[in-house]
Amino acid sequence: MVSSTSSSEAPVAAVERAFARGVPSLAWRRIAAIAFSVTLLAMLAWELRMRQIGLRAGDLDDGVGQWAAERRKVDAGPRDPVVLVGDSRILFDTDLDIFADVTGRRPIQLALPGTPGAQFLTDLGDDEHFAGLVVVGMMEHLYFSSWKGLFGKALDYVHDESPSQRSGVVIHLELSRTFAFLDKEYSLFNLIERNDIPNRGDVEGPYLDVWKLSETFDDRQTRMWSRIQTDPRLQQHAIAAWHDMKGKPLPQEQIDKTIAAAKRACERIRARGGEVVFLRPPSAQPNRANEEARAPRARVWDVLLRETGSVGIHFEDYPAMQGLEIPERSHLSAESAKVFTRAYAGELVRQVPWLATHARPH
Amino acid sequence: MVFNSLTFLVFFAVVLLLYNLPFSWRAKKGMLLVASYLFYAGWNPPFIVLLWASTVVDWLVARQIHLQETPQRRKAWLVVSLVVNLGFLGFFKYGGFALENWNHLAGALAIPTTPVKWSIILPVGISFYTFHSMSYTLDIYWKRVKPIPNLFDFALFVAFFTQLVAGPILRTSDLVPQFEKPRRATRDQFFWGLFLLSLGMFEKVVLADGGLAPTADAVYGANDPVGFVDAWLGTLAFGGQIFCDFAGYSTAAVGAAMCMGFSIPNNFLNPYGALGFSDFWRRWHISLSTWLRDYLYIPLGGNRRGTGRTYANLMITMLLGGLWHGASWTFVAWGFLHGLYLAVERFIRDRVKTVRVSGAAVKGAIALVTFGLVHVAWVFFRAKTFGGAWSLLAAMAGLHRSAAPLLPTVKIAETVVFVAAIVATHTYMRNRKLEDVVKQAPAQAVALGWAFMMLAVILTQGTADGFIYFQF
Repeated sequence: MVSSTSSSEAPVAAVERAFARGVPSLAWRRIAAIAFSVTLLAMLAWELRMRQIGLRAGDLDDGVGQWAAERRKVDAGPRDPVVLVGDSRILFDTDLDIFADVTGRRPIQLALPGTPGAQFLTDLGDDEHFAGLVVVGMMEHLYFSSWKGLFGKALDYVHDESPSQRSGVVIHLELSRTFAFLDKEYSLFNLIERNDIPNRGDVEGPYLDVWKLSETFDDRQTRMWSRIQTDPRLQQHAIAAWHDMKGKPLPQEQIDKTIAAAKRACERIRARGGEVVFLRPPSAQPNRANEEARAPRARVWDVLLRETGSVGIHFEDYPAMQGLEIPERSHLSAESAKVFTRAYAGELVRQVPWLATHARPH
Repeated sequence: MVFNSLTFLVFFAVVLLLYNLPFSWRAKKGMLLVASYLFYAGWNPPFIVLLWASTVVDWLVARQIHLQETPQRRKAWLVVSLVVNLGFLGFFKYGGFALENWNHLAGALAIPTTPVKWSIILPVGISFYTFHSMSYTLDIYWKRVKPIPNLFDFALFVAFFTQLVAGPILRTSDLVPQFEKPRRATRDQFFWGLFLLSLGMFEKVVLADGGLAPTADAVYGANDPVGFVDAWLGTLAFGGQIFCDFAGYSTAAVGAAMCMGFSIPNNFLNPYGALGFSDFWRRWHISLSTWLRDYLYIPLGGNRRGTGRTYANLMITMLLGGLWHGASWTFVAWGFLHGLYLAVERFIRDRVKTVRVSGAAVKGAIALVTFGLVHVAWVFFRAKTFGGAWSLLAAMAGLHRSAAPLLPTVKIAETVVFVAAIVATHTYMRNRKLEDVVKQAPAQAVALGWAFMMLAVILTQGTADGFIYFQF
């Protein structure tokens, strides 16, 4: 840097530079007309192609910005909202309208894909404003994991979100109502990278990532994308991406730690007049067997309910929650999600007195 | 707010609309000032107070320096400016670093102390606007420029949104004269400005964030030691990423300003085509290197006080330049390496003055050595810890032979293609200006290239991640 200065390294002269940049002398109006026309036409062609493969306008995409908007609702409204936390299972498997029909309360959807719900239960426990009902969705090996998850920074984001980020989310939502191609799962680099190319050694490439599985609408109402049911290639890919849910058993220390944190959060919420319920949505074999091997029900789920003194709704215990369609063995189809929601919401009404005492027309 | 966000698109469209309405020049400047403060407040509104404080203090102090007749009084007022500006910078940017080092020192010396956690947020772009503002009082002190008569123009100079948070670091002489008369972009300037804005966004959204950042993140975030190929690819990817990120911002800043008829100087001139390290620093973050030259290296004595002092000045400047980038010893190490490179280059040049650098092979070899060593230094810039940096360097030296491969084929291909394209472009453009190259290209090719960039930006669907240099 500085060695570039020559022997004339005297203080810079007092020159008021009248700096002016040049412009290449070309027919810029014509160039701009061509450039914008080509961009527009290509974008329209892309939009048509994306609609052809099943994307649709109104699928609003999901992310921490949308999640933050929902999280703010918890503190903005009355102290006793119904809130859903957890991972993608309670997210995909809950129909918010049906939940509202059955319970009389429309829930705030705070579940996040690939993200343990434990941290969000703790967050609500720490929120002195909150005195509502939390329904905690559970896929045990994720909920009890020490990993913060794919959206582990969501809580930081909601505290640090800048005004421009917030307005960006709103603009993105409005554009998504018009353009189907605005879907991060079908972004340029995802399309480039999700080709099945041989890799070195045991390296796993982006081909084995989880691809688009769901559609998201207002209030983060999320449903399984219909192509997962109708396109065998996408269905098989989704099944393969879960690796049959194989993995190491949960360490006892991690189980104890997570249960202790859940117990603290439940006590704090109940002390303010709120309530906590745990929900175990369905999964299909062989995933379910591997999940049980990693987190045996008797050692994890049962202990969690006992220690926290909570109502728990496990899909295995209710005939109405059996025989549902689970196309990729982990999440319910959109139709089955309605059935499951009606069933578990009904159980909530029956088993959780809090709902009766906090009934409200929706 | 960031350029690669939907909020900025709406903001900029509104600013352009208002700017081109038939208001008085003073009203337009007022609108630009308000817009610039909104631009900054879009990140974290309370910190705008710091920007105002820095602006008001430097404008008032500069007037006082100018009015004083004795050197002592001039110096005293200068000290006020330096204390305020460097005080803000020190507190917000280096407070945590200082505390952390104090805790380490106290622990090492067994001094009883209660460790305190530093939880002060770093105001975005503070290093940039502090340097903007401080250069003015220094220029007044050294009588390089005359005082700006009204606070309004000075405030607009400091806050002008195009370069407020990540440079280029301007001098008052770059911009303030342009505020004197009404400015409006010609049609050609407007479209060229949009072209540059698109180019900058392409560099940032497509190349930096989409193509290169994931590879660099995977390698530098790996839990286990990586092998030779992965270490080099990760470092090359970071070298490409940081260039495209920062040069992309600068190019977008130049373009956005030009859409309103303002000219902002280049901040990058194809640095990966550099022949040697002094050449590299004439091409990389030019506004910072010239700032450090004019306000640090030369006041320290430059090369006018003997050989030993010249090397010392060089090293001090680069060490502080490293620290400017971030409050960590790894940034200081990065600055040290560049200081060392420059010193060695100067040493060699002083002794082999008669050898001329000519011939493609010799130039190619020098360019390769420069490129390689610049990337070795990037390891300290990117790694979070010295442990991480040494591990990466060991891998780059081939010492992690048993490391399992990390990067998938598609990431390797992307990195190779993008880095090769960047190096080839910089080599071709080494002695050329972008304006000249575009001028000589067929109009249809320019139009299609522009359309390609815009489409790639749209389809990449960036996540509006902040620019790397915002954190500095």
